[in-house]
Amino acid sequence: MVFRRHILWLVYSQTTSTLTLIFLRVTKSYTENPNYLELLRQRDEGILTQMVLEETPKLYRCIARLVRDPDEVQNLVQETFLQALRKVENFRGESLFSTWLCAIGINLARASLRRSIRTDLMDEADIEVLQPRFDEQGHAIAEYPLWNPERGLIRKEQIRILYEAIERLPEDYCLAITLRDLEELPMDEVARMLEITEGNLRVRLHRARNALRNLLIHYDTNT
Amino acid sequence: MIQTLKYWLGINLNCKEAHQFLTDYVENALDEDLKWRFEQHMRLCRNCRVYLAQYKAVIALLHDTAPPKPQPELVAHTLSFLKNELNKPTS
Repeated sequence: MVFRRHILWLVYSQTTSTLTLIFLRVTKSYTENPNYLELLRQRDEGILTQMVLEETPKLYRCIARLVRDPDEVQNLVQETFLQALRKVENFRGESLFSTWLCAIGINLARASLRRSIRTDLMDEADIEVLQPRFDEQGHAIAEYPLWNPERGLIRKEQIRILYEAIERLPEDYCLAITLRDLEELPMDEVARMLEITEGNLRVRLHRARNALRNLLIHYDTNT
Repeated sequence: MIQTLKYWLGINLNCKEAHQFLTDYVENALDEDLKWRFEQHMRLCRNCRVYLAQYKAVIALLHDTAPPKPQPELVAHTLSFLKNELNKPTS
């Protein structure tokens, strides 16, 4: 079943003294149906179709930011929906349904990443090296190089370097950056997806951004 | 005495302390008092100002990346996949 409603707006213009009739069609989200969870449990075809239609773009983006192989991304999207439908009774409504769905997708993507053999991943010590240094009085030890992103490498190239660097970040940092800075999801939603506190998320973001800045500047000023 | 004066003037944060609040500042998660102290430090410290600008530039670059788009047939494929899988007898 597809839920649609129409809204009629009457707008009065003082300058022309006319009434304008605006006819808007608003498509409601499947989650606005008070029985959507029950309908999903019953595998109702209409609500299932609407869920897949509505959730696929966001879910795809979250997974595709982490997993590069397009075929694997497609498999993971499908597997996410299947797992969600099989355990829909586990959804307790503490977050948005789409957040819960993305959390399942991210866990599947993590498992997929672990299966692929990577030799160039950074570890915690590599991230530590990329953090700024301070002396005992808390003053920065080095003067930061003057770097103007507008004047260095072309933007496309900077983005490519950033992507490569993100892929090499340890998984926790990679996920934080991907969901917050690439996907631009709200902090509380990202924290819920990753099952960490917002404070913890901020620490991960901070360290990851410091590392990316350092890598980018190093690359930009050495080319 | 000096520490009290610095606190009163809002210039009691050193570079390391200010640096710890970078993410909170960028995420707009600092309370008014800390935000003021952070900005006071930035006004006085050129090196930290440079760092903040670069930190923001990296975030802006990250925001600038084009989001991956699913293939148009993915929805249809997913629906047919779900139909097949959900109709399989559970073992």
